[in-house]
Amino acid sequence: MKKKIVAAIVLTSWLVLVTIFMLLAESFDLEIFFVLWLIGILIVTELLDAASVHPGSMRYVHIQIAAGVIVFGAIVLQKVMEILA
Amino acid sequence: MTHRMPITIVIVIGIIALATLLFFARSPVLYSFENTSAETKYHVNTGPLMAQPLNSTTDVYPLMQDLLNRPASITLDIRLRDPDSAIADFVAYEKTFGKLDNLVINLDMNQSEIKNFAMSTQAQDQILHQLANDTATLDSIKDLQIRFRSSQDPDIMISVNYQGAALQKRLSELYGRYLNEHQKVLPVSTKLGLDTTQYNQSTVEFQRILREADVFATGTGQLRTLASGGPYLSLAIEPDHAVYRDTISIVGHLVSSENDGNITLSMDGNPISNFTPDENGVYIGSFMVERIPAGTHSVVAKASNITSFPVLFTVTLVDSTTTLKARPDPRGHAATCSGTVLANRPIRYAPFTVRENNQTIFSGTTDGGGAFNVSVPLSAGTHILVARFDAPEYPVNISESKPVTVYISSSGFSLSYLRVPALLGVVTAILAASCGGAYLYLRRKKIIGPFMAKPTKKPAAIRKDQGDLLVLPGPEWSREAISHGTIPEDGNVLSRYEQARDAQGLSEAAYLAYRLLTGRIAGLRHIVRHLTRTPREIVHACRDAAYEAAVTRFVSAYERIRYAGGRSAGDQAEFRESLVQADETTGGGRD
Repeated sequence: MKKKIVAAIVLTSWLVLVTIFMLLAESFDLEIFFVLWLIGILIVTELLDAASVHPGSMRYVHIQIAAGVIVFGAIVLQKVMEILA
Repeated sequence: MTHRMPITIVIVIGIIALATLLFFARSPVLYSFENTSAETKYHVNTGPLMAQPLNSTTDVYPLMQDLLNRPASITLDIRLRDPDSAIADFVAYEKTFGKLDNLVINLDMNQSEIKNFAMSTQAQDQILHQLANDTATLDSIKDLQIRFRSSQDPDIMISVNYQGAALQKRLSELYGRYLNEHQKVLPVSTKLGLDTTQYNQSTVEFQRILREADVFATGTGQLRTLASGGPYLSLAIEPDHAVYRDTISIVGHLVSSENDGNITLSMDGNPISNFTPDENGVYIGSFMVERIPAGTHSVVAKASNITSFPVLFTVTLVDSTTTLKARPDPRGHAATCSGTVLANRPIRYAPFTVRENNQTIFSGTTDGGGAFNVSVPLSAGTHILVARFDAPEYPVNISESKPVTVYISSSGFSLSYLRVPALLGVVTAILAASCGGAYLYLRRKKIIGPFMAKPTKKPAAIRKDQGDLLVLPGPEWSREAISHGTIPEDGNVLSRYEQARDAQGLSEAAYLAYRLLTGRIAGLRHIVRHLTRTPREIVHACRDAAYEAAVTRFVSAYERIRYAGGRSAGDQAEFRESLVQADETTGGGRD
């Protein structure tokens, strides 16, 4: 099985698991969901990414992660402002 | 794992997710109020979430029909003096109106006839509320009329009848307003095919109520004649029992040749309000029970030369609740105390105190909403504070908040002076960290071990044929093979590969070619211990070199033969071709 398929299945499973727990807790929080997605994709990418082989698709994944890091920074900023306000 | 396994896994995951959602299908409340905190200002108004929007024009007509039917029931309740049923009808009426109003907004019908219908029904609702209040006042006046009829006091009877006449006049005006709205609603209802039978009945009931007050209108002329005998001033109030912030209605009549047009209402000897009577000498007004102590009070009306009979009314005590929140003031050596003082309604502009150890340390006044937010000076240390409402001038019981503990730092240092710069610093730092993190993530290079040896000084020129000098001793077989002359020591890479293939087989020949090439690359790229590196690491070492693509192709073909067991003619042809290309691009020549 290709690595890409394994990665997609693992990430999907992770997000479904997160969703199920949020539904069971009756508290669906998009911010937490986003952060957990970011953690998941970081782990999957780190395990998938090789030192010498660079598929073209990985570049887009890296851009997504970089954008996710910026959004994560915005979430942290919002939380800090709520605490300071 | 078969090729169907991924699909199977996705299907299983989907089934699990759907099965989980099934638990919420009957009551799909994902954002329950219990589990959703409303700590920020963005979440305080959760009321709209409770709204159940209707989104179909077919839902309009039943609501309109219900609104048309309800006034008849309300007017009948009012006429029959059934307040409980009237209140229930009012609640249902307003609920239906609320639904219609939401629907008008949701369906964007703000310019339509239905919007006009809704506005008229809302106006009628207010008129019917006024009718209910006026009917109660009418009953009170009738009671007064019966009570004083036997007293044979013409002044009191005249006063009561004038009050009744004033009320009758107001009811007539109310009926006129109701008919006006009725004329607006009727054409729309008829056009939409709604049944207006009951709606028309409401005007009939309204007229019957109006006729009950006609007795005062017909007697006004006679009463005016009777009143001409001497000056008098009457006063009636409704209701005669009240609690905090109830509104007391006042009605009275002044007949005096020396009328200067000003009547002062006094309670317990203290003026509380002024009124101006109309051309018939009737005055109507109201005042609110706020800073009036509990108990029975005497109210009199005074004109320039005459005083009414005193009227008594009773104010009843209500319980109150005081809350307090306290936190250290960032300006240092103080606590910010906030809270509310509530009774049946918020107690506005009420005095309150903040106490510690039963000693008052701060006094203040609530705002118009019964809330306060003050800074209380405190010494360093731990303080247990209580907010207290104790104002005997209000008809409200004393109340105290729960004790709140607040700690004031001894340093008195505060970040308030640095608040704006600190905030800007925090914002800048977080944004810079996130953007920098994203940049570094994109620019990072994955390094596995000490791959590239950093040259400490400029290496000596390496001849092409020195590549093999860096090759570590290979397996014994190859050295033996060379010594026995089965593996050629001379010739270019391609010829040595072909001879080795015939002698040792494809895999061993590929390995020989790989070693020859990597030895050359190690010399060119200053790679130490290159035989300990994997083929892909060798490819990585060729990054940005002119021969990177050729080496990559060669390594790919090499892996197919050595690791994947490729023996096909295609694999051999690809390997040979990639070998020639890599040999040429890396310098070629004799190895």
